[in-house]
Amino acid sequence: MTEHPNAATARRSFEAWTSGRLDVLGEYITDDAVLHFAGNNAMSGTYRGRDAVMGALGRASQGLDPRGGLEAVLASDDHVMAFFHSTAERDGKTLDVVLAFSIKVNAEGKLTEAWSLANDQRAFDQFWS
Amino acid sequence: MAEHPNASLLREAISTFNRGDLGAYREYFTDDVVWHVGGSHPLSGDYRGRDAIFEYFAKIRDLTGGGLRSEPQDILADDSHGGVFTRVTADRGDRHLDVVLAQAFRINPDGKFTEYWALADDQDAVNAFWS
Repeated sequence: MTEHPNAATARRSFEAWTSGRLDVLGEYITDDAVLHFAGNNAMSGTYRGRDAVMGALGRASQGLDPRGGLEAVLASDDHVMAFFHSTAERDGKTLDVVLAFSIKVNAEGKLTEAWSLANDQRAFDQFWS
Repeated sequence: MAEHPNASLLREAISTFNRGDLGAYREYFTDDVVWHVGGSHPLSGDYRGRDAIFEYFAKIRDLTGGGLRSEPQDILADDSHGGVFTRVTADRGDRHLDVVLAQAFRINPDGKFTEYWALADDQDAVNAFWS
């Protein structure tokens, strides 16, 4: 079965993010994109607008191990659900969690809003604190 | 296009939950299921094991008088994952909840849920409702 175009967009966006090509990522999201990072750490919060979203994702990509990556991407015409295995190292700390990303997609196939939640919030908070 | 079997499974599970039949709903989960509830309210956190999760469901039922409803708007699935975008409504005293919850599932080959993430579109509203 051919992959849904929105799944392909999500895959390319994650690839751009994890390889640090934020300019490419920027083409897949709307000007008024919104990103919500769950938790209680330095990354947590809501980022509004392409620049803020890209700034946050740029910080979050530091130390990301490229061996991590997408476990699955599900898509419909309006939504994407991505399961992202995040392994990272930073200041002597290591991270190994799976983040669920729910994403809204507009009629032009651009990503408009995303929410992320780790499957071990305590580990995620400690890593980013 | 026919719906993916895991999408049908998720649809059935949600209608079982909406009927309030927690006994039947238990059958959709493995014993060691892990459940992740985002936010900063008394029900937020990670729940490990089916018993812990069903204590959480019982708490939700008691706090909302059994009136919490989930109306799926979009169900996505592959052979080992599911994604449900669902409108959740509930009342608790004079508080009213009406949010879209994005629910991520890992599903094993036997069609049982092994892991779950809940992501609310309006986390502040969810925090206020349960606090």
